Amino acid sequence: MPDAAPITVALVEDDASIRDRFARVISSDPTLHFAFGAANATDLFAWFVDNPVDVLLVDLGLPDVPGLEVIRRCRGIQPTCAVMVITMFGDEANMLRAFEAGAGGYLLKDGTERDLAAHVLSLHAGGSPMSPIIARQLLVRWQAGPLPAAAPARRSAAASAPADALSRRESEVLDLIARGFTYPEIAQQLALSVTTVQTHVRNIYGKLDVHSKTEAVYEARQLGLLR
Amino acid sequence: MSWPDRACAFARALALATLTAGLSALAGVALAGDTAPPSAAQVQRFTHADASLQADGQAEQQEVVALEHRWSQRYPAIGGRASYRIELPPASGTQPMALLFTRIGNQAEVRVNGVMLQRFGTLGDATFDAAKSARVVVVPGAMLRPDGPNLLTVSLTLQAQRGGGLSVVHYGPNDLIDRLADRQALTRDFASIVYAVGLFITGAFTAALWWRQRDPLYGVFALAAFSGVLRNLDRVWPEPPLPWPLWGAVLAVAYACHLALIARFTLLAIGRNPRWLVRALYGSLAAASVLGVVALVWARPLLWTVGLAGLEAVGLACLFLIWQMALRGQRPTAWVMVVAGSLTLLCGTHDLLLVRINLGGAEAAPLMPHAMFVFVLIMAGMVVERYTRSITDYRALNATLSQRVAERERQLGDAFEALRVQQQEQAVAGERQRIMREIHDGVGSQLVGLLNMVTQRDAEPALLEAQVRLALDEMRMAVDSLQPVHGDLGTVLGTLRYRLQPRLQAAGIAVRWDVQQLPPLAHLSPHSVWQVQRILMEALTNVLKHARASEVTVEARWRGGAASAVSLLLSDDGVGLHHGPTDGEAVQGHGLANMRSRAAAIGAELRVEAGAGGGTQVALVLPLTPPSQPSSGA
Repeated sequence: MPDAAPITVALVEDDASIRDRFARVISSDPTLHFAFGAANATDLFAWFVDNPVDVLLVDLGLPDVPGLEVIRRCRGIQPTCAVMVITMFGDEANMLRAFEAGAGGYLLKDGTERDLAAHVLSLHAGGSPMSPIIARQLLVRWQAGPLPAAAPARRSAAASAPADALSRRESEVLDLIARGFTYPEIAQQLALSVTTVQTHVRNIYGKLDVHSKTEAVYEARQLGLLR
Repeated sequence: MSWPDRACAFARALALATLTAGLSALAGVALAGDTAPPSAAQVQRFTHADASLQADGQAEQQEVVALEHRWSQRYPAIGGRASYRIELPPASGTQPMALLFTRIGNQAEVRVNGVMLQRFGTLGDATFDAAKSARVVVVPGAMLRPDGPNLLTVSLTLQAQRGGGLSVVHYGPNDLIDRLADRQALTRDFASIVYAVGLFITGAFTAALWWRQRDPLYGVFALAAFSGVLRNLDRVWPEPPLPWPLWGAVLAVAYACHLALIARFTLLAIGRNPRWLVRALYGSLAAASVLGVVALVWARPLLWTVGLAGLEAVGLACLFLIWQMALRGQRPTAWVMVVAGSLTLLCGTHDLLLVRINLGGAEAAPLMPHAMFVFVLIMAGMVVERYTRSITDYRALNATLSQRVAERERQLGDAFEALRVQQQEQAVAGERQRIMREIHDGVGSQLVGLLNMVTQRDAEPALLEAQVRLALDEMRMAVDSLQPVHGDLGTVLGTLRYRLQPRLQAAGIAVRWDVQQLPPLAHLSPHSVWQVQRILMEALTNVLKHARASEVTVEARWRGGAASAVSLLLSDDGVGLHHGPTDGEAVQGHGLANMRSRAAAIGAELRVEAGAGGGTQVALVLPLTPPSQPSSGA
């Protein structure tokens, strides 16, 4: 992790105090570099086109553009940039949409300052934390896959991306996460390495991130899964 | 105007049109009868005859009589014999001639120049009545004298009150006479047959209606119609099934029934049935029947006249009543009835005075059959109107019904929607109440504690931090309890661990995590989630604070069967319940009481006991209150 170049971070958040706090925390960490803080999406887009960053922190409740749309467009502009959602505690269930729009993780607004920097670093390093509640949501979501609402998605997905459904292993991993097991415990139970568990979790997030797939599949997903 | 009203108006118009058409048809027939076309020049009319009349038991009388000669005019109550002689003119050629007798009877023999030409019935035998129809007698030309008068002799036998006698005699060429006879048959027989058939059909029709609906209106009319058939049929029926005075008695009774029942029908149709009038009606019917039978069988014609007059009087009372109803305008059919009733009573009076009492002379013909037939048309009109009205009512009812169903449906929908909104509001209010209470009891009390500590002069930063963490934990548990866990207690436990793991790790306490797959708990409400979280939190806090443990074990087991339950076990390898620091005892005791009350609040059982390998074990047993649903994934 202590690589040569610091990780550049940009932020869009309409609440000035939170923006300042994040800026302060990121600036104070030597491995991170705070590049830009925008108060709205328009300012961000204008800056974002010309300035590549490693991590973008997005607040979903912006005044001008819906948060999911911001994620989608930023991923379009800089596909290599990791987008993290800034959310308040207890809104994990709603993170699914953000993941589908291309977000790679989330930060709690009310988390401690130490957690915050650690999370950014962890995400950038390819870590994929997943809370039991999100795992439960994902299990329910995929179990409900064959429901009528999701049927079109399934068909389109089958046509273009047959591997869209969860594998048995992925389901097992999700189930164990949902029951509170840590990654090392899961690795032990399933006789895998911790890295493999991480990979499984990343793949599960990847299956949600429809941005990398065709537009048609994306649309179908929208219809079928976003209710 | 609504559609039922218009339909009623239409039905009335139709009934009136039917009535008018019927009346004009009758008028046509009647006019045709009155204005018999003038005979051709060759047809001669003989209006007088030399007659010898011999009533039973009396001396023979010779005289010249005017034709039409009606026996009953002179001998109302007795039968007898009569012989008429007419001189026919000399015949010029050999072409066949013919005689037309519009009425001849009751039994007759016709001779010309002493040669018997035709016999109608057998003289003196009352079974046959020749007088029912017009008779044509062909006279072969060869029989006739070209040079002198030809003598026509008509011999009759007559029965009392049977309408016997001799009509005006027409004489002329056969073909002309035939044509004249046809025309007369049309006016005389045709009307009777039409009436008989019409009455029979409507009688049968209304009888069927009565059979199905048991409406006395139809029943009375059917009887009236059938009794009317007999009289009309009799006029063209030369050989009735009974010998004369008896058959006459039957006819009289039938006719009385016909009249009285038609009167009864008008009352029923108008909807006014005063008891006195109905009694008078049936009384006069009975009287007229008895009088008729007596009059015919015992040859007392005056009695029958009295009977008819009685019926006429009751009919007049009925007409008066109907007229009152019509004036009040309660029944639209009343005016039709007034017209028909007036017509009938006029005809009845005419028949009584001019035919029955002979004031109108021999030519007078009864008008009653024509008048009575008007009621057939009225009945038909009423049936049409009733049918139309019921169809209209039925449609209106249908429309109203579907309208009411729609209205009810809307009301139900509204009520349901209101109930739903109310329930939703109640649920939201309840949830708000709960969250408020939790904020107050949880974060609130922690903050109050914090405030107390801060205001103390020498507050240790470590204690302050612990207190702040407690407040934060309280808040996060409250928020977590609202997150969707889909009834999975495992996720609740997992979330708790996810939150607390860093702290346990920091305290150097290892976690042994053994949470089985648990069946979904349908009744796992945010409230129970919150309580479970707080119980476990309390237990874990105790471990952190007092147990001095190095490892904590969390187990979740599911027990199936009749008393299926989920049991949560939290055990540590610490110093155990009774080895804690003395200042901690009270806190721990207080904490346990709290945990117990929380467990009781969600119907769970809490046990705190010494662990198998030392330390403390806290067991929380949650019953699966609804019938257990074995987890398919287990």
